[in-house]
Amino acid sequence: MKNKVLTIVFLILVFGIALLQIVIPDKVYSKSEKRMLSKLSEFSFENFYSGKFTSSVEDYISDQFVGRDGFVTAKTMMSILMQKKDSGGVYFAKDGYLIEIHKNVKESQYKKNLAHIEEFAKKMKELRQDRRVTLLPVPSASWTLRDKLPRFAANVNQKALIDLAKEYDIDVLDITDALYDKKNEYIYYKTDHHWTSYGAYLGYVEYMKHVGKKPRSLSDFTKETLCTNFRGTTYSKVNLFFAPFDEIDAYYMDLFYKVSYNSDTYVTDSIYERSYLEGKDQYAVFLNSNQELTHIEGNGTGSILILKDSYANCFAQFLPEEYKDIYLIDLRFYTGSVEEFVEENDIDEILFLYNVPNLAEDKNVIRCTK
Amino acid sequence: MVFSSLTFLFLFLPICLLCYFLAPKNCKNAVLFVLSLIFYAWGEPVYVVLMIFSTVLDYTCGRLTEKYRGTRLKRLGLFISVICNLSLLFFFKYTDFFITTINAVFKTNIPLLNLPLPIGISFYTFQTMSYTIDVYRGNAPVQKNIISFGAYVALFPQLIAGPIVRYKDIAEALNERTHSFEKFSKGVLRFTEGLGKKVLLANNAGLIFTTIVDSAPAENSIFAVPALSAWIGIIAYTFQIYFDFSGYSDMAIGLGHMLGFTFPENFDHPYISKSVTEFWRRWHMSLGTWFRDYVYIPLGGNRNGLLKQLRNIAIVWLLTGIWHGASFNFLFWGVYFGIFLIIEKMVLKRFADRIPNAFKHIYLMLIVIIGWVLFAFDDMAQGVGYFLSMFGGGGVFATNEALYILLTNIPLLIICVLFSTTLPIRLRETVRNKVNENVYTAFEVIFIVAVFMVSVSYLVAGSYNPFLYFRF
Repeated sequence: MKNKVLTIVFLILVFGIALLQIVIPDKVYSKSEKRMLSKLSEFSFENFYSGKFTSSVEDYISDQFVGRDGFVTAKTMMSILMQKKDSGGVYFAKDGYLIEIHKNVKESQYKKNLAHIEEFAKKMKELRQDRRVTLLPVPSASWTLRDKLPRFAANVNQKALIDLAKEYDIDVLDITDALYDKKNEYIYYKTDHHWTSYGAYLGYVEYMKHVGKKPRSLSDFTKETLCTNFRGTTYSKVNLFFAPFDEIDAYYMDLFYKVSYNSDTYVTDSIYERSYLEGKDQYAVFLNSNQELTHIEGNGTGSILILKDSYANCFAQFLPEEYKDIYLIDLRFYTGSVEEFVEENDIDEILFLYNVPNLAEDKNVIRCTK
Repeated sequence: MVFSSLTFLFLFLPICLLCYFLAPKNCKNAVLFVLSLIFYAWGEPVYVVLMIFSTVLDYTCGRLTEKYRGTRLKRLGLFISVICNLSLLFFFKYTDFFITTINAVFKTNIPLLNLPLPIGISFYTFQTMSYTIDVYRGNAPVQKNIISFGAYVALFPQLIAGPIVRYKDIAEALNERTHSFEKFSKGVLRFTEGLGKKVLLANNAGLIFTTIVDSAPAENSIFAVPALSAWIGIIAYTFQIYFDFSGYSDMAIGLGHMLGFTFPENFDHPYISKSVTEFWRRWHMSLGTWFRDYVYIPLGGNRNGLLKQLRNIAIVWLLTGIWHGASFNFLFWGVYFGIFLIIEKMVLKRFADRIPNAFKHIYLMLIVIIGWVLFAFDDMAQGVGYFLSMFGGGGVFATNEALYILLTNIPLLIICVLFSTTLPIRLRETVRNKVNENVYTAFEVIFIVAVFMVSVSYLVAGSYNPFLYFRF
């Protein structure tokens, strides 16, 4: 009796879960992880011998695993039970914050990136002397909100990384203090690695001051709450059901600006791509996720080119009344020559806007020199 | 393929069980052979040829030995088997090590072969050799069916990380074995226990160790971490290697039970030992047995005087060390234990009765833990840096990171300590005796489901899950 029970329980576990994998149809895209999931590659002896087939089967099983999110939750719960203060690369910080861990940043890549930016800035100024090229490295939550991290948590000193950038011939805008002063306000999402629109507003104020313009006060903008059920990237890594929900806010003077993506491949009349609010990747509401080239037609004067990562997407909403033309280039996807682009459009100002860990690790910064 | 993977648990295992139990009795070995080859080919598509070669070779050698028994050619099979197996092992595992050493000593520039090491080669060459030797000695019957012999050589449960199953251990079961719910459920319990040890204890302990090693500043030319980190790290590694290795053996033994085999035990709570001698009776027992039966005793063991015995011990521990990997650190690791064994035999044995057990235990654990520093780093400079860090070489005693790792891993480390002792087993027996059988079965069901599902969660979440035996 006992032996039969144990045997059957085990067989149900193994065969049951295996059968579910077959019965439940495959997903193409993971909403919670925001990436395409692996598909099974076709069997051939060639693929098998090279090991391609076997590793594709392993990726496939892991990606398409039924109840994946639930298992991730179970793992996180187990970590909490074991008194762990982090799981899946995310700290369980105070006040419900899930903060991405950054501790071992490779300085070698960072120094390369800084050298590329230095080289690029020099060239840009040679081409037009009055052109401003600014680097705005935005510290991520793990630095600005370091007081919320678990006790003794390892953390890379992002201020030191920013100071390192100042040793180069680069015009660096350091906003660590400006952000730290507001650390108790809602400047980073609790469940996502981005800064909030309010955090980006603080960045906008500093940048305006930096280029000698007068920043507008927050009350000049209309605030609209786009959604209140946002759970972002750090949530996906732990999948904790009791994690808080974030609120995504929009700030605008005028709701309608002409925005064109990738040289008029897609033209729309708003910075906010509201269809994303229904899905899981709600931060993509700002400028349609990450596009290689974005052009916003504003009502201000002059032109600005932002070479950026996704931190710039919500930053850009504060600019249309300041500039006539706002261009954003994502070097991770842009394949053209930035220099030619700047020349063709006679760009007045250039801004590098990256979050610090990404600036240190991104391998595509070199493309700005092409 | 490794047991602690989703591919094994939900693809290979169900297909394997289905094929194996649906196959008629006289085909089970053939099914097992084919499944084992697929299991091996999964990670080593090319080297499966090597395994088939090894199978045919020792099959033939066994037959030759049987055929020429009592004649002038009685050693022919034995000779071919030992030469070929050791050549295979040497060629694939030690050639590059040998060339590197020669290049370093004689300042030559011989190019390396850069061959990937066939996984499990150290296990299966030892197993096939044991077969021919045992047949020669008359300790095991010759296997006339090449499929059954192939099933033994490739037998997937113990293929990759042991235990080293000698042919004579399973000779009978290979030809005639029974399957029952009793054996299967025994296997289920054992397998789940091993899975939990590997995925929940070893992997999480391993994460501590790698986190600490990775935290060493890369700019420094000398490897250094804070002293507290170094100790936590190596203690974590101590648990990782034990739970990983013994967990693997548990899974192998468990799968063996499911398929009707009884494999030899491989670990018997080594960390409760009170001397190095005892430790090696409890650690990787099947390897110790192998070296005793096929090296130590044939060399004369302890029968030809003290000097010869010391020589034999030295040889065995040199070999034991180098068996774990083709690198000097493993060699030194073996020698290190050999020296302590000799010291114990010659000196400490006399005082053993007068020393309190607690001291003996601390003495043993210190030797073992420091031994793992040698074992963990095949880059000797790094190993020395790590060792010095344990005694303040890193300059600071503790950093925030060390305290963070310590504070967030206390429950894990306590559980690791508990499961290194016999306490859980004694507790289990007490419960078994106290409660009625149905209640106890319910406990076991809960244990299986919980450990299995939580382990799967860690695997699905893509947690740290290293494979430690690619150098063996």
